[in-house]
Amino acid sequence: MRMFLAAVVVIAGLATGASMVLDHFQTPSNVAFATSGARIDPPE
Amino acid sequence: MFRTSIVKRLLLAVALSFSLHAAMAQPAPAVRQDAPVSGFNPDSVEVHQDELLANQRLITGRITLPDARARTLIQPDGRMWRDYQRSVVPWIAAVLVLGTIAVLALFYAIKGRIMIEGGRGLATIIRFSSFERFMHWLTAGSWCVLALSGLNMVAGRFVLLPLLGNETFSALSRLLKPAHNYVAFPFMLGIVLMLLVWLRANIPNQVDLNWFKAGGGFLHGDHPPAGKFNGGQKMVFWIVVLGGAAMAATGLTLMFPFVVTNIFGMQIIQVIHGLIALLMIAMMLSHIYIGSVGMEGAIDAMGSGEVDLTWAKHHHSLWVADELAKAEKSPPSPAE
Repeated sequence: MRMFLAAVVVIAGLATGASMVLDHFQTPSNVAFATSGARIDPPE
Repeated sequence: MFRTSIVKRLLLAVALSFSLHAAMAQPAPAVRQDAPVSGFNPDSVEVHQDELLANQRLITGRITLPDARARTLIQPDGRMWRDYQRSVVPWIAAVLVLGTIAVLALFYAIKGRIMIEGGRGLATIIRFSSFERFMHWLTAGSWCVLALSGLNMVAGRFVLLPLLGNETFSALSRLLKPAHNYVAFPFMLGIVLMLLVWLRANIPNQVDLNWFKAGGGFLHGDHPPAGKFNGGQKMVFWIVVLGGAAMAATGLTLMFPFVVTNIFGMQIIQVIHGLIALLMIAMMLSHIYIGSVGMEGAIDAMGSGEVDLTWAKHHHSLWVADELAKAEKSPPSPAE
């Protein structure tokens, strides 16, 4: 049971880390596809 | 005479002016203003939608956006992919997942729980170390999140939406979609760890062939010899490792769109990703069943790590013999 709980904690930690790393590399679509002539509303 | 001529000219000019104003105020003339200069008329009179969709792989326009891929207005093949996703995949998921559950329920109804012959004894043997159990649960726990979030993408609108309502289902789906991406990383780590730690014990051999020939002991009740992992467990191992590697490769390709391939390739990869996932879900349901309610004593291996010695002798006789031989060779040091 302890190993199960440890695994759950590590899964949550790694997923959080992955989200931060991916968010660093990813650009929101409303920024990536906007130009001086086209503006896209940010997602809600 | 001269005066009359000037008056006539003035009257003509005024009349011409009125007629020009009137003409400009008239509706569009017979020649359409939106008719292209080339003479090609791209409306439904000359362009038939079915032919266009059948003959063009991409229907593109002209844009000023920096991303040139955005010039694609319609990708006809995408309609086929969308129909497959919405109509075919939910049925495949239903057949595989519900079919597997039905088969397992039938098996349980016929055979019942496989009990330890002679009951539990007093002696136990350590089957898996703490680290082995940790990496198992790391993979299994993240797999559960991936499987449930993936099934929600496939069949959530049919199963959960009527139960939860629009707002709750939408909020849940918006939570599960990024979770599917992020939890993929602990899953990949678990796969790599299992490959490194359990590879040697999962190399197939003649013992496994005999195990399969004997039906794994499920059909006749006699337990064929097996090492640390029997033939069925080795099969699960390789399905998880190879299937997991395929899921990781296809999943990363989808996670970073257009980096590896174009829209056609991504649609094919998405289909492969979904089919492998559904097959793995069906296989893992069987693994979960036999490791929990299906067999007495099996859950202990991944719970406390210690299993009943009688159970171990029945299901992994060769491994128990090896472990006992090792213990005899290196007796515990005497108490001081």
